[in-house]
Amino acid sequence: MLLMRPYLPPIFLLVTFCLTSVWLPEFEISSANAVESESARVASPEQRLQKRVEQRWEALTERNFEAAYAFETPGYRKTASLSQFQAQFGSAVNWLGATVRSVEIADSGDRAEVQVNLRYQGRSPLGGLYTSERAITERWIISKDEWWYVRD
Amino acid sequence: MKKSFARTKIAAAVAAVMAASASMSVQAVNISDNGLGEVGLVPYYTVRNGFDTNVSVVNTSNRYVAAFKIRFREALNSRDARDFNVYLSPNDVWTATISVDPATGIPFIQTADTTCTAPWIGTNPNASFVEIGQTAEGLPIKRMNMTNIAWNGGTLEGNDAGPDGIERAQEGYIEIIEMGVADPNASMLASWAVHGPGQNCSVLANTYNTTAAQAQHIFVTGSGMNCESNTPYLPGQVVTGNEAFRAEFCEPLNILKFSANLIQVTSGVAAELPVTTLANFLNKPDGSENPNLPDGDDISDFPQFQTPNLESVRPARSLQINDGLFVQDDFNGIANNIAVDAVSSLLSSETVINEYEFGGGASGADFRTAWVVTFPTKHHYVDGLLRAPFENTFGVGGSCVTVDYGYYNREELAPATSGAVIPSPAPIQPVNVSVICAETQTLNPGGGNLFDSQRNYEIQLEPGYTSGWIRLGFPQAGSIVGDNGTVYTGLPTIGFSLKTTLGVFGNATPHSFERNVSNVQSCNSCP
Repeated sequence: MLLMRPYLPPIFLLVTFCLTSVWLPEFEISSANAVESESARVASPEQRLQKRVEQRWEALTERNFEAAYAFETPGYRKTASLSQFQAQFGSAVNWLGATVRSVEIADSGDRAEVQVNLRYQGRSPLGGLYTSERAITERWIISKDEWWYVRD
Repeated sequence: MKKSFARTKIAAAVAAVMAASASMSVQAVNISDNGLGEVGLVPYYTVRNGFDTNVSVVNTSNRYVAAFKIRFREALNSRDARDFNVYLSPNDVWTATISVDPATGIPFIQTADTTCTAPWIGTNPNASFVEIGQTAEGLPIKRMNMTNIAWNGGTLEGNDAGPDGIERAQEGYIEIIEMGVADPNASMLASWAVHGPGQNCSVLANTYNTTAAQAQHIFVTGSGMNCESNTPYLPGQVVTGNEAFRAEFCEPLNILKFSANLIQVTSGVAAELPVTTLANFLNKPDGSENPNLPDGDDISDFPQFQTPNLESVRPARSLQINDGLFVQDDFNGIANNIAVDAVSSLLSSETVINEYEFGGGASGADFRTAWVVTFPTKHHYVDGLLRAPFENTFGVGGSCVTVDYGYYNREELAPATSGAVIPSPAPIQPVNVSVICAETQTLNPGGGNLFDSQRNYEIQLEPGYTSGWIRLGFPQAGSIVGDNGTVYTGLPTIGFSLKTTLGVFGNATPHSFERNVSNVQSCNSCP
């Protein structure tokens, strides 16, 4: 039966997605992931994740989408090419930088939520730029001792 | 679906009279046909899911300062999340961004524009703009918070049955209402709004301050504009507060242009939003307006007042084209109507039509669609009362209206006839009946929640229906009746469909509407 109904809470889908993601069988560590050795030297999982988050945003701020692509889950990279990944980004925002506010790793240790303050310039409807900053929530999962960015 | 506007000889004659009346400058509120007007309705703002909403207003007059009220109405019940006054100097543009505070989740309005506002810059972000920094050019960046006091019992309006939290303010729609114009060469008050050495936004805003010790008095100038014939204001008279603005400003003109967009700051993608523009919202009682020399009263009001609003339309008269004919009507209570019916009659819709695209196409892309459906006058009918055309008073969960929908794929196949060859045009086959309950809501064909909306619905599609179009109907909608008996059946609706492909936003496509205007009897307003 076809129904118009209120939407299921996103957390349900998130949990489903996260569980699916960590059980992807063909994880591979991309050779493009040049930061692996550096992050492995950081002491705690939280610090390692924070470093990964910062590095990803450094890449995006420089609009270095190839570098940013390397932070996507291997499962995502198997289904979306670099050009498809890059096509998701528009030019209406200039990212100026990002600051990690908090890192919260789930008790299971395999996923985390990260609060990030993103500084940016946006484009007004009739032209011109405005500068602002806002909080965003990112979701990351860990596999084979590395954190990966999860897109909703 | 009944379309009862018959092209009779009488109707044709009425149309001829209407056309003549229009050419005689007897104005009534109408949907602008040239993109300029006195009222702008932005169907959606949101700060959720990484979105910022930007809005801009242009004063296209090279002579007049234009004053307008901008109001942000939350999505559930259209309660006022924030409003204030803006004073655009001739040829000026005002821009602002609606975003959200990183720490508190409180939405705010931010601008680096130098245009005057009331309130102006202060120290409390819940009562005025506060300076939070500077642009690279050294201009102050100002910010004012939205508030939940209009629905948590903090105002005379009282609490409503919905949740009390500020989260309600994180999405909604925007109404912008021009209050009046003034010639800065004739009015000292208006001159304070003009960029240059004479600009003084602080003094202008403080004119509203009627506290005796701080009151900013002005001398009525009035020279060059003679629009206050029915008021006691005389040149040289000392006035303060809103009286100063009423004395110095005249009726609004169709000089404002409105624009808005959504930007998702995490992806850098943007979508321009369609804005519904109303012209001739306020005219003299006889409906006349000289576009070059306004000669009627304005509707200026204190920044803290929830007026003007869409109920402020004067005269309560609408003008539209239906089935190729002019329809003009008054709403002065003769048929138990109210003034805002004049606006609602223009937007009254039996159905909403737009396209959808969902799921993986042949290219493996991830298509998603979100519709925004907004009823910008609904609260005048359901908040503490119930009037047609709506079905339910606002209560816990909102004020629900019945909807049904039918859909086609791109090859005009509908679910009930999938696989069959049917003639075109095919009758729509409603596939379900349900309800939508907010004043602004998002509907996602195929599922999902593109905007992470708190007022989200899913339009379920049968497998295989990945793109095409949908007709959303309001089968239980009532009618508005004009003074002369014309019947407008349906719900006053605005909105758009936003399609994404691989996360890249296309243009937001405005909805199309099927209207049902019937029983056009006469033209009681025509000269």
